[in-house]
Amino acid sequence: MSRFSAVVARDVRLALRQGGGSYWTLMFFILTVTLFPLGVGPDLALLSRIGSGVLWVVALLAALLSLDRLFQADYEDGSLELLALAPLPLELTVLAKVLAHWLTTGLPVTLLAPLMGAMLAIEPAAYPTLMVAMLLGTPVLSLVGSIGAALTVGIRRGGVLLSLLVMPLYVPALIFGALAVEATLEGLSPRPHLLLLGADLLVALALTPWGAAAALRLNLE
Amino acid sequence: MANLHWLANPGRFLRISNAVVPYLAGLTVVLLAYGLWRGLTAPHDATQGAPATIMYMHVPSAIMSMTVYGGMAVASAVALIWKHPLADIAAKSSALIGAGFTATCLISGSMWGRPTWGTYWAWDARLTSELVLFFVYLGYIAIWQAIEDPQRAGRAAAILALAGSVNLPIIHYSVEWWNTLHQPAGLLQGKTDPVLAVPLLTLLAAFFCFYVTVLLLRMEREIVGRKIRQLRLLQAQA
Amino acid sequence: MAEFFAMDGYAFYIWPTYIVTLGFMIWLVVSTLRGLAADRKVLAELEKNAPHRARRRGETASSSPSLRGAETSDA
Repeated sequence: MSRFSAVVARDVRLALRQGGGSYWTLMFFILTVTLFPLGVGPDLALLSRIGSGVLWVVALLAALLSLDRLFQADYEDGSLELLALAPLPLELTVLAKVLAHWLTTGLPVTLLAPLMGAMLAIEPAAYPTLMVAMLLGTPVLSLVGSIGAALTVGIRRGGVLLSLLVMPLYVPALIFGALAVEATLEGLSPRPHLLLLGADLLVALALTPWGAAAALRLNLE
Repeated sequence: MANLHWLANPGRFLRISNAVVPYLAGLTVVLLAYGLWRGLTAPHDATQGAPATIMYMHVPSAIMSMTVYGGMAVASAVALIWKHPLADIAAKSSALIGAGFTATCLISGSMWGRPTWGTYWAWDARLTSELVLFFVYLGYIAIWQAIEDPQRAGRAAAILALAGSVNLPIIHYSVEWWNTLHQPAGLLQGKTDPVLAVPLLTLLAAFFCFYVTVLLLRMEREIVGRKIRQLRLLQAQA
Repeated sequence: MAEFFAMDGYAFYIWPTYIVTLGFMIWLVVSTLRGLAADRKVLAELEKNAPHRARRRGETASSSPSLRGAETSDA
C-alpha cells in the first residue's frame, strides 16, 4: 500500500509543481465556462437552464486536456518502464496514477463547481447535488480516460486521437451527472441518477485498470 | 523468417474463402433482389403509408451495425487471448463495413423521421446511441491508422473494441434513461404483418450475406497487404 | 410505373435512402475488389523477385506473368 501511495504522492507533486499542468487545467475550466455566457448572451434564465450541462461538458474537456499527460511524460523519460517492472502490479500503478490525476483535476473542478455555477445562474439549492454528482462522475472521466491515454501513449500528437477514442465513452457519466442536477432543479429526487452514476463509477473502477495496464504493456514492448 | 510462419494458416483460410465467396455473393444478389422486389411492390402500410418503405433499408442497417460490432468484439477477444492472427484481421476488416451500416442506418432513419415525426433529427434514445456507436467505429478505425506496426495496432484496437463493447450497453441504457420517444421494436415479437416481415427478413439475410462476403474479401486484401509489407521489409534488410 | 416511383409523394425521402444504402454497399464491394486486385499485382511482382520465399509458403497467389520484374536484386 505504501508503494501505491508513493506513486500517488509522486504524481500529485509533479502535477502541482510549476508547469505541471494542474493549474492550467483549472484555468481552462474557468475560462471556458466564462466563454459560454459571452457566446449565448447574458440571459440569466437561459444560462440557468443550460448551466449544469455546460459545467459537465467543460469538466469533461478539462479532463481530456490533461489526460494525454497521464502516461506520456513517464513514457518519454523511461520511468514508465521502471514502474512496469516494479513489484507493484501495473494495474495498481495505473490506479494510483488515475487517483493522482483525479486529485489534481477532478477534485479541484468539483470544488470550483459552485463558484462557476453561480456565474451560470444555477440555483444554489442544486449545489449539493452538483457537487455529489461531480464527486462521483469526475473519477469516471479519469478512469475511462486512462484507457485512451494508455492506448495513445506512443503516438505522436496522440492527444486529439485520445479525445476521439474516449469522448463517446463519456456519454453515460455526462448524462447521469447532468440529469441529477436537472432533477434537483425541477424539485425531483436526484437519487436514481446519482445511484446510476455511482454504478457507472464502480464498473469503471473494476474494469479500466486492466484495460489501461494491458494497453501500457503493449506500448512498452 | 520465423515471423512469416503464421502465413501458412491464412493460406488455408484463403483457399476456403476463395471457394466460398462466389456462392455467397450469388446468394446475396438473389436475396437482395427478391427482398427489394417484394418490399417495393407490397401494398403500403396502412398506418405509416409509403414512408414505411424506408424500413427495408433502415432496420437491416440498424441490426447489422450492432451485429458487426458484436463480431468485431468477439474477434478482438480471440485476437487478444489466443493471439490468432486471423481474428485480428477479421476485426480490422469488419470496422468499415460496420461504420458504413451505422451511417446508412442514421441516414435512412432521418429520412424516415422527416415525413413521420416532422424532423430529420430527434435526440431520441436509439438515434443517439446509434450516433455514439458510429463515433466508436470511427475511433476504432482511427487507432488502426495511427499505429503503423500491424501487430501492435491490432492489440491496441482490440483493447479499444472490448472497452467499447463493455460501454455500449451502458451507453444505450443511459441514453434510453435520458430520453425516449422511439417506437418499440416489434419485428421479432411476431407483431409485424407478414406482408412487411417477408421482405424485411429477406433483406436482413441479404445484408448479412453481404457482410460475410465483403468481410472475406477485405480479409484477403488485408492478408495480401501484410504479405507485401513483410516482403518489403525483407527486401529492405537484404 | 410513374405512380410507383412517386411513392405517394414521398419519393424525395424514399429513393435517396435506397440510393445511399445500396450505393454504399456497391461502393464497398467495388473498392474492396479494386484494392485487392491492385495489391495482388504488387504482391506478384514482389514474389517474382523472391521466388524461393514465395514457393515455401504453400499458397496460391494469382501471379500475372505479364508483369515485368523490378530492377532491385534480391540476394
